[in-house]
Amino acid sequence: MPQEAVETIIHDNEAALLRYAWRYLHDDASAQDAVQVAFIKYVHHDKVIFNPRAWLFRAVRNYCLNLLKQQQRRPEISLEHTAEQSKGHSDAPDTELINREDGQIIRRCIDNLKPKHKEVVVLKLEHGRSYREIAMIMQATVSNVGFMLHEAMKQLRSDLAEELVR
Amino acid sequence: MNHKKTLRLITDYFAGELSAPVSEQLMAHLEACETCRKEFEEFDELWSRTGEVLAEDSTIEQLSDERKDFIATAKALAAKTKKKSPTVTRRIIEYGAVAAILLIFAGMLLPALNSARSNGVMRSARNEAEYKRMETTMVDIADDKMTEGADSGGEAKEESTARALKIYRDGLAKQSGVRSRNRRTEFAETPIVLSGTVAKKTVRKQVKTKWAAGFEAADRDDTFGGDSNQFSARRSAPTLKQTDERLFVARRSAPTLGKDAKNEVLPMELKESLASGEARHKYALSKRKKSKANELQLAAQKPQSSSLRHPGAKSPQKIIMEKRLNQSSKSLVKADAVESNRFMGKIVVDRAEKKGLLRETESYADKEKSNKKRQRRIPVQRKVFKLNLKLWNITTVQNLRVLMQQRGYPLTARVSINRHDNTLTFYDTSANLMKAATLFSKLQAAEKELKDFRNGIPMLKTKLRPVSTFSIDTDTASYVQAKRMIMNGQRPDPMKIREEEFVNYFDYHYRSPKKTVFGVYLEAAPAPFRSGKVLLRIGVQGKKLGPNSGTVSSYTILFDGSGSMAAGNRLELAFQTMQLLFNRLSVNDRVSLIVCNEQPGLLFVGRRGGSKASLFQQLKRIKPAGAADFSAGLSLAYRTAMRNYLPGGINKVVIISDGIVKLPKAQLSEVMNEIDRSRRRGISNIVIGVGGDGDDQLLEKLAAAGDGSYVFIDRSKDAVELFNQQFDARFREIARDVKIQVEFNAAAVPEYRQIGYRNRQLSKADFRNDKINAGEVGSGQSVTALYEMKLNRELPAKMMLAIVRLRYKPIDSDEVIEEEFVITSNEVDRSFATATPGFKLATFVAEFAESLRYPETPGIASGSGVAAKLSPLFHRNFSNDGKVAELLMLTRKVK
Repeated sequence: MPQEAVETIIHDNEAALLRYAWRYLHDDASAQDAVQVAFIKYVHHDKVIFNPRAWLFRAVRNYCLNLLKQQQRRPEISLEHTAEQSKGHSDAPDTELINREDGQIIRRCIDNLKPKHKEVVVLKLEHGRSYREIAMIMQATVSNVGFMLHEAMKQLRSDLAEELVR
Repeated sequence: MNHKKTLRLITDYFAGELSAPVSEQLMAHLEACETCRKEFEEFDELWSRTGEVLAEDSTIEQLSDERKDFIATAKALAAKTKKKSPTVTRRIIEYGAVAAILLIFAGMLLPALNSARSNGVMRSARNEAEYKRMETTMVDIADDKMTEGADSGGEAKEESTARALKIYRDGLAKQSGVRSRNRRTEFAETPIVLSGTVAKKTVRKQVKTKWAAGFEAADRDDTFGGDSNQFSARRSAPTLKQTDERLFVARRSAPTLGKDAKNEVLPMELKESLASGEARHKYALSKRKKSKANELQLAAQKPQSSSLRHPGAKSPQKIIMEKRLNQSSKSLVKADAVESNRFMGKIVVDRAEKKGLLRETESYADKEKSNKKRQRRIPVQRKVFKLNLKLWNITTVQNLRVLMQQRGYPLTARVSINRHDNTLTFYDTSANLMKAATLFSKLQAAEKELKDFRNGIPMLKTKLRPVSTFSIDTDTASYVQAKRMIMNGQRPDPMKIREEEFVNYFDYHYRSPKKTVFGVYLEAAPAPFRSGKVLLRIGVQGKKLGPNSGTVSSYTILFDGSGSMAAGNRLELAFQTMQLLFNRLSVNDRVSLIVCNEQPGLLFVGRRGGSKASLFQQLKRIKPAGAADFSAGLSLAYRTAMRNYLPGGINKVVIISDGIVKLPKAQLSEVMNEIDRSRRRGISNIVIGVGGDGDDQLLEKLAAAGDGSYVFIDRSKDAVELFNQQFDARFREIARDVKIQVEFNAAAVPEYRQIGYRNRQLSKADFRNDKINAGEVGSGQSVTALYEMKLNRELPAKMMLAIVRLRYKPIDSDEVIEEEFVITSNEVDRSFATATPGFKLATFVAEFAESLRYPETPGIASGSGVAAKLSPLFHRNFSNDGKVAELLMLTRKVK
């Protein structure tokens, strides 16, 4: 593949991939590792890749899941760390505090979703990937992705309603 | 468009996956339907909020430059190593080269094919080489003639081949006449050796002949198939030669053919012609008896003459010739094959005999019938012995072997052990089975004796079973329940009495260990109620953890919301328990509540411990009714606990129930498996019982399976105590799978028995098997076990009485620790009076428990008998202990 193509692919996707990897690993350095490995795999791959972006996402996902498995951590996306980290850096006015409180609840609700559902939600809502791409990344069928997203949103809504009843 | 479908469409709409016409339809529907519109708006909000929240997490946006450089280098490297797509000219060259190679091969194959055609059969390269070698080394002239014959065509060719054959054979006879005769003698004699009893010495030799037979059989496949051509005629020459030079061939062919031939079943043709072969063999034998030399000559000349009779014969005649040739040589071979086959059969029997494989022997019996000569069959029988395997420490066959060896019955049979049914299945000869039966009847008699309480509680013979192993039990429910019954003027059900739970309810004030996880305190003194017996107390004291600093905890409460919970003060107690638990929560702790009735449901999930008022508020929503589907409830509880798992924190499922629940036996094992899985992941449980008329054993089982403890709450005081004094002990574990093994010295302690721990018994081998689930110990918790021993009189000083081993897994590491303690004869107190107060108390509690467990058993003191001795102890040492005061009252109530 031509040199420029790789450059553009890196440029277009690195931010999203880093975010995605970080979601699993919660560590900047590890996330960079994951993305770097994915890109290296990509340049070494000698067959034609039809959807490089989805391919890269999948490579990152596989890397992250493998890593988590090796570390014997529970292989799912956790928002727990985010909550702790974002606590520190902003002294916000009251309204924002309420918003933050709100955000915490949503975070917790997302956290309580099934791992696969959580992944679909992240890929769709955070990364805006299409069902087709999500299907490629997660090795599922397109209709299954739609179903999972629907289920996840339903669950999220009922959990949120329950949380906000108080 | 129905509501459900709309919802799905709304998701797809926000996902941007809806085609234009469908989204138009959706919009139209939304305008018409208000509920769906509301739904849509809510969804919009949720979607955007979730997106925002997810976007809030900040992370680095770019790969660092050095990583980018790294990727660039990797790419450059990949580009270098990557294969360029081949150009057209290159392709042509490649194809050309392949074609050329193919042509060369074809050219090489062509002459070979031609010669094969002239020979009729394709020979393998190896055969050819071998054949060539034989030809050159053995007879040059014959070789020349044969090649001649092979090269020329038509009848003349056949003729010359036959001639060549003759010359070849003559040459053979000339060159190795004497030697081959000797060989033949040897060979002819072997079947006789075989038909007699088989001596092990001959094994190797016979296997060799078997190989030879296999070789012959393989040859015969070619020659017997009716292939009437020159090559097979030529091949029959080596066959002949083999007859003469059998052992030579056998040796040569053994490495290659032996492997296949060894296990090979005889070919069909051979089997069919078996009878005739044998007949010939017999004939040969009878001849041999008359005149050995004559017979040998006959055997040597017969094939020759038959081949000479038809020197230029055409194909059909040639077949006859070949058959004769082969048969004459085969008659011996076949007979040998039969014998060696029989011999192989014998090996099978021997093996069967060794392993006791019944089936093989039986199937072999059928084969044998056809051979007419019957081998002696080994009668293997099956016998099942029922035995309490745990009691005799039988876990593996090795255990059994040792046990039998020690009693003078070496284990020879095949045995299968079923630990669930407590059965041993033996496969052995009847004589050996009789021996085993005498041993096991002794053990069974000993077992029966243990169940006989007419002469007091029976003791175990140390010689029979020197090692006692058990898992620690920190439950106390049995005592609390018995207390409730006695206070109501009833006698508790003996089956519900677990002595260890009585003993462990009380505080014995062991010293808390400073460095280690556990302190072990051994004490022995004469028993107060039975003269001549000595009591051994093993006190295990767990270390006390410091104040709870920063450990988060996640509780999942499974509340039994069945109708029975509304009875009496159960609901009140349960609510109080939950409120006490909520009060102990810190801000970062999490709690979930599941109400288990006919359809178990989540009341709330993963709530933080901060807002206690709202948690209390939730309790008001509980309305007990109907039956409780406990299997669904438990599985939901454990799933919820898994979801709210806090790594490094306390993860507990709190089960509050009166034990009146629906849990069919079929589902029990499934639920237990789930509990066990969660236990391995670090989710333990605590079972809090209320009421007291439910399935007490089920609740105990749940606690035992889930690394938890079973406590019973009868009054609000109990609940308060559980969450104030005992909270650390019940909720903060220090060690898991705590097991104790006591090995008695048979020279000093001829008999012993353990008090309590009946359903916590382990097999000896389980002690060091770290997969076996055993009891847990919480912070500052102590466990006491008691043994009653009979000591030999006049023991020498410092004689070892018993070794106590403690094995456990500390909660904060994966390693397993085993410690060993010894008690010697001079550590035994002179009299009961000089024993420590704690020892005395434990003795009295145990005696009281046993008086309830074994009513009207001679030798066991009555309640009032215990009361008489307990009273002075209470006044002297335990006057401040409310628990002991209660016990005193109870003992006085029981007659």
